[in-house]
Amino acid sequence: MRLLALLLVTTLTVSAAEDFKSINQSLIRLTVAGQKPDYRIPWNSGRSSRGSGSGFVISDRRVMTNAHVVSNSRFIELEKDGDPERYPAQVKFVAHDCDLAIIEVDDPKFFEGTQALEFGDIPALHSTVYAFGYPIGGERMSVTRGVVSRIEFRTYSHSGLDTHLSIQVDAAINPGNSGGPVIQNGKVVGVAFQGYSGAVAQNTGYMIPTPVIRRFLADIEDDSYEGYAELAVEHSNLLNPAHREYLGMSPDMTGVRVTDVMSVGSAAGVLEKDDVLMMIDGYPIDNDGQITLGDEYVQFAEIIERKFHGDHVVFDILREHAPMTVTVSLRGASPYLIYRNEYDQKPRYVLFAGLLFQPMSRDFMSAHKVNNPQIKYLYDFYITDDIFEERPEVVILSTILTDQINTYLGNFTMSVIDEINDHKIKGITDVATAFAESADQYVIRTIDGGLPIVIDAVNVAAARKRIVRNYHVTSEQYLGPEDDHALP
Amino acid sequence: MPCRKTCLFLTVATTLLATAAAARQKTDAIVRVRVTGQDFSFFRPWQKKGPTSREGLGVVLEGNRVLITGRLAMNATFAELEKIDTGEKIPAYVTHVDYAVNLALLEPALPSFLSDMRPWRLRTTSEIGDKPQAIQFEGNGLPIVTEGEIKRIELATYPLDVLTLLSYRMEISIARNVSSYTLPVAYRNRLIGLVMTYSSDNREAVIVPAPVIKHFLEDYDDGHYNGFPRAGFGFASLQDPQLRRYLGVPAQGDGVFITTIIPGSGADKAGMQEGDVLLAINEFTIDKFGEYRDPDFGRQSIAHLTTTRSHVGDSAILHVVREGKPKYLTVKLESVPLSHYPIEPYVLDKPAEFIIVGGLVIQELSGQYLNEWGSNWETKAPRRLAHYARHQWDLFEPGEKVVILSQVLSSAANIGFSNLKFLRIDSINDMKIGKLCDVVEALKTPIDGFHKIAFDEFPNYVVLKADTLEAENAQIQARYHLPMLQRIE
Repeated sequence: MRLLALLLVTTLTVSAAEDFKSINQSLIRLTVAGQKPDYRIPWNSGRSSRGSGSGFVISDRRVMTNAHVVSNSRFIELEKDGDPERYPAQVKFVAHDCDLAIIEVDDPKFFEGTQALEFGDIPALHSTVYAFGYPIGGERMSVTRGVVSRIEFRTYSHSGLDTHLSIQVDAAINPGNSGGPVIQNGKVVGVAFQGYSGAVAQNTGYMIPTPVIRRFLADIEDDSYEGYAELAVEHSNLLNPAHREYLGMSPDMTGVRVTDVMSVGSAAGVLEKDDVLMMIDGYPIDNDGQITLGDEYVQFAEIIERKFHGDHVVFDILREHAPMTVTVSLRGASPYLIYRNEYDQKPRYVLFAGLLFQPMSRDFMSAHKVNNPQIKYLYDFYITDDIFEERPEVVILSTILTDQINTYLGNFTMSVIDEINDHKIKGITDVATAFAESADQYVIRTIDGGLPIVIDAVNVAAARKRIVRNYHVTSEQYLGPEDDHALP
Repeated sequence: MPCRKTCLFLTVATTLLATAAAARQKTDAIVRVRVTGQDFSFFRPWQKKGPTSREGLGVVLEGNRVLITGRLAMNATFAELEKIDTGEKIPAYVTHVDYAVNLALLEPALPSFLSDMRPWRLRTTSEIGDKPQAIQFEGNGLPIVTEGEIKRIELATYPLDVLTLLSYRMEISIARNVSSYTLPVAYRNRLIGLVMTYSSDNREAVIVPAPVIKHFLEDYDDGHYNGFPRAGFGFASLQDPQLRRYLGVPAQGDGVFITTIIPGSGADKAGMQEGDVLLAINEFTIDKFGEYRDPDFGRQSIAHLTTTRSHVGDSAILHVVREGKPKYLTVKLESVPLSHYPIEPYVLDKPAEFIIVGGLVIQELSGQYLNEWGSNWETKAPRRLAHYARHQWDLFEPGEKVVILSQVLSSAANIGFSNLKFLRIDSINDMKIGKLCDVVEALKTPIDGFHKIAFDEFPNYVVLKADTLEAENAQIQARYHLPMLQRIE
């Protein structure tokens, strides 16, 4: 058995060697030391992590890999097959929403003998592809072969929120393969990025296809990454014939029905509830929201996917039985961000009199294993119930560092904060502002209107000193990158 | 058969012990009560779940009737009494039940069935340290009398989560399998309560105590059962001196903070407000934990004062402090009827109501419905429904019901939306829906040939074609073998 497995690898390497010599020379191994932020004790520098992944050389002396390989990194080293040298590197651009990153290397020697790989198109279903990388199971470069199984929208698990086109292949893609190129006819047709553990499914690996990669490369051409634009519209299918009739659609008309338009999103004021979206940029939308784009049958969102902030998208719609054409100017939609995993940023918080205030976010929810029904409601319905309009950030009193000043406040952990001394709390910075003002007492009201928290100001200064000392708090607040300089 | 020998020996031992105890404790006038209950299925409201049998020991009271816990009587389809000594059986009827206080009365089909029994009387005073006895019986009719000790007398949330009432907590070892529902507990030949729950882990029995039973019986016997009253407010303890100073009450002292008021309740009508500090009820001072000194049971939560110690129609004078100034409010104590709740805490002894139209199964949301996710439905039920239940008094008017689309039975009419479920129906054909029968009314007037059923959330609404709906309904009824398409009592 063992012999067979060895042979298999050798055979592949030999047959691949002729075709893929340039790929061998362009394949990079990344070793990354990182620190994962601690959302429970946010002033701590976090848990150390060490991981490795793959990458490859592309044009202009750049290395491409997955965002998740280099996220929260503190130090990155690169290796090439057959070169003992370790090359320090830095992240130049990172796109957490589509799990891609560009790495730069200072040492010009690094690129000697490498060749920039080129990108191909979406490979045909059932065509053969080769995944290159440095997966677990050995030290040297590995190649696996598979066919294209499926092409569809999928959640990119790195952000946990964003869905983009992705391609499923049956080549073995294992930890360490991440960021490695998937090759067909000598060109990169995808970047390996996620898979299932063997316990869930076999032979299902996923790669980021070239439309997503090209979009990323185009986005960073202006030297900054904006990310995806969002239509920020919720829609429902129109598979029900009676519903189409109700909306005044003739039998030859198709489309989907708008059920909600986010008030701060691109389509606010342009699209309305109950509009029927019939065409997007001239592509007819089916009753289940799919369009035919070239050879692919995909969700109409793919049109938005390929666009950038400031681009336009044209809809042919039916509004109250009347056909019309509207143009939406695209931008991002920040309320969604609470559902995205955060990377490369420190958790934001305010600690006051032992009370730790934090904004609600995906990382917050998982770190605190939140089970409080009220907070879970606010999290789940943050967008659908327009909670973000009143509270762009939901601020939670998450933890109490016990001290004599807060000894009666134990019941208040996991309360959602509404007001502090008549300051409406719409975000963590409002908490800092409210506490920075001098007052006789600080009255903190929670959103269920019950008992308020009252802290006499006269005792605060001494309590803060005690708490900072006893609990080894290195900083009492972090509100964002502007605070980085405030550290001693 | 070595086992048999051991068993025999054990039985003899128990009997000896039991006889010794029985000499001091009255054990007659107790009957075995067997109840077959059948719950309605709230996810398939056109049918009932499988029947289950429960058994307990009922206490014969004055007037040819038998006292049991409400839990034993739940959704009863058949009940019978059995004499312990002769094994003679007779059907019985639940003549009165109040699930909120977990008590019920049974009467035998023939009054003479109980006539040879000397009825029990209540002992309404007990104190910590008393050693009452739980009474059980062997299969052969021999009594097992187990002594325990009252460890605590305090308020407890009763099983259906409606009322917080007095309970005795007793340390005792009870053979769980003998009669699992309802066990009488007696002290010096008087009944002091019925076992409501028992945990074998910490050997703790929670007792529905005689004062609650007495209130229940007196209320019933006066010819009109009003139920237990409530003031209609919730409170939080006020320990923090910083907070107390802020509220204008002495840093160390009495009083609790009013956190919630049930709309339409006595407290609401009397003008009580959230944020009031409650200092006293009638002559009783309330400490910062919300306790007063009860003449019978010492320190108890004020809920006891306004429930078991009071009767519907009584008035109470509440001394509150609002914005630093004293105020006296006269609160009429009333019971909060089930119909007052937007989400009724329980639906028992009556069928689940529903309407099926175009495959849409429409029901009222209730505690019983939520219970289909188990007793921990607060975290297990769909978040939206749990949210409605938790904030029912804020989100809905008293008496208004939460009508939901529970599920969809797939058919041609609902292609494209047959996966919808657990959505609140806001209106049908532009008519607001505030109770299930509004649905029937609203469906009488389709708009331009369509019924428009609107929800609180995605997908906002669905439509059904009016002209083909009746035929569609008939098909769905036949295809899914539904005994009926609606049931509204």
